[in-house]
Amino acid sequence: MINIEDLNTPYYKIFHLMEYNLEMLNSFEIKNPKGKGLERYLKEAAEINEKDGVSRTYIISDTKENLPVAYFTLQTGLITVSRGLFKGFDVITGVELTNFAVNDAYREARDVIPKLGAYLFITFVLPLVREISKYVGSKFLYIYALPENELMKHYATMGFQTIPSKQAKYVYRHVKPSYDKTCVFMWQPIN
Amino acid sequence: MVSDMIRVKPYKTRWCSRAVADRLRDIFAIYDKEPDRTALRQEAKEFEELIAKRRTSSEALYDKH
Repeated sequence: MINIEDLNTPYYKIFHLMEYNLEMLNSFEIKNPKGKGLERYLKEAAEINEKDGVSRTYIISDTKENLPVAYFTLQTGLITVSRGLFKGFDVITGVELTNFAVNDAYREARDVIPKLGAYLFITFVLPLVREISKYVGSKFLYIYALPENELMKHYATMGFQTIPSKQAKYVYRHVKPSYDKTCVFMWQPIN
Repeated sequence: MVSDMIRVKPYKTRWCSRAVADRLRDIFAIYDKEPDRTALRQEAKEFEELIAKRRTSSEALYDKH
């Protein structure tokens, strides 16, 4: 089993939420009004969900000042696949990336180089999810993405793909939470 | 492969006719598509090169003073 510190790079390091100085999170800011929920989650709900064991949140900070650069939240889940009309369904197990956000305040103040999100995803999120899948069988990493073209294109770059709308509707009917009502299911295999 | 679940879960499919099993395999095959992470790797590589360059130049500037 890896220690999450093994994922650290010369520039960024990862903390489990409860090992991070939570006061530092006050500086975390999302500028896009549609993404404000991600900021609120981090500041108001992440700790509660940690204590309840519902999900795990990880903070990525810079190595120089320990400032929060980004965060992501993981929880286990599944999706349903129809076996046909009135024939029931099968399930495929997965890990849901419930939140993934870069701190806009940090990005602006430090004149951060673009593509930070891609770098953090491949450096921290994917390796951690692969490690998790060694211990808890899980086939997919999936998200419910906000239905915005730019954002979905960004997720496609990160390796996420959509499924045909008929199958997607089936997933929505069974397992998509109401707070993700308008969001689009996207997935990628964990490998 | 996800579509192999049809094969490796016989307890769920033993009642299936070949036609039904084939249809199910087709449905599940949607999830066998490999992710294309070429762009992701490229973006991450570009980022790493730029940040390394920036870190080196800022350290050089620091040393100068």
